Amino acid sequence: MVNGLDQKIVKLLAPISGTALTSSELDTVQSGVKTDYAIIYYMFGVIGAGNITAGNFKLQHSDVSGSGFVDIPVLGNGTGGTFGVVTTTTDDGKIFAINVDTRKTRRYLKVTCTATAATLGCAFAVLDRMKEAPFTAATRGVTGTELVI
Amino acid sequence: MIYSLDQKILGITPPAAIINNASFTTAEVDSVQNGVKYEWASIYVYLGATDVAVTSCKIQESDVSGSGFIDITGANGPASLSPTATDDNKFFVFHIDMRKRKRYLDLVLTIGSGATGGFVTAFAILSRSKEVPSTPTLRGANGGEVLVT
Repeated sequence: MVNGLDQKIVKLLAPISGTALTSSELDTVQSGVKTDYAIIYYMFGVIGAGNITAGNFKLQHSDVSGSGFVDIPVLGNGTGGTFGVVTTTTDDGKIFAINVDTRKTRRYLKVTCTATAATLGCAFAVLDRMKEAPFTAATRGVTGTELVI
Repeated sequence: MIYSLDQKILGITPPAAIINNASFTTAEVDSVQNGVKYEWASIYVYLGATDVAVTSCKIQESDVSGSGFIDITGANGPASLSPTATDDNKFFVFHIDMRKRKRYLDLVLTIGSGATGGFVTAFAILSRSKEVPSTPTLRGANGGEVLVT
C-alpha cells in the first residue's frame, strides 16, 4: 500500500502574507465517504512582530457548514486543540500539526489563526482512513496535476 | 493504522514573500531519516496567488548531498509539471517510489516574469519506512503537534 495514494490533500489556506490566517472549512465527508482521521498542517515562513498569541491558533468544529463552530473540547482541560504562542523569534519556517480523530468530532473542522502582524503562512489537510480510497488525482485532492514516478 | 502518523513531513520551500522571475530556494529531501529509508515520497508544490506560469518545476536526484543532481527521467522525458498563470491555489504533486531512486531529491522551481509573480510553497511527505516516526519531531512537526482524540 502506498500511503500517499490512499489519502486526500485539501487546501485550507493557500500561501499568503497577512494577519488573517484562518483556514477554510475542512469537510470530513468527501464524495459521500467519511474519513476517520485528519492531519491539519500549518506551515509558516517569517512570523510577524508580536507573534501569534495564545488562544489565536486553535481548532474548531461544527455540524453544519458556515456556522456554529465551537472549540473542540479535550478531556481534562476543555480548551481544545490549541497551540501556545507561536513566536517570531523561534518559529519561523516551522510546521505545526493538528492530528484529529474525526470519528469523535463534528463533520466540519476549521482552524482559527490570527497573527498580530503580517505573517507568511499556508495550511492544508491530509485526510486518512477512508472506507473508500481515492483512485484518481482529483479524488486525491490534486487540483493541479500529478505525476507518479 | 493511522497512516498519517506513520509519515514525516518536510518543508522544502516555506511560505515566502511573493517571487517574480526567479528561482525559489528549495531544501533537499533526504529519503533517509535517522538512518531509516523511506520508500515513498510525495512532493507537493502548493501555489497561492500567481499571475505568471512556473517555468521550471522538476525533480532531480543525487547519491550525495549538495552536488551531482540530475533530472529524474520517466517514460515521457524529465519528471516535470507545468503550473500556469491561472493555477492559483492549486496543488501539483510528484509521487515517487524511492526504492528506485537515489537518496537525495531536489525540487527545481522557477517562476516566470509577471506583474507581481506568485506565492509558492513546497513540502514533502515521506512514507513507508521500516521504522515509523514516534514523536512530533520525527514526524516533522518541528513547531508543535496536538492530538485531538
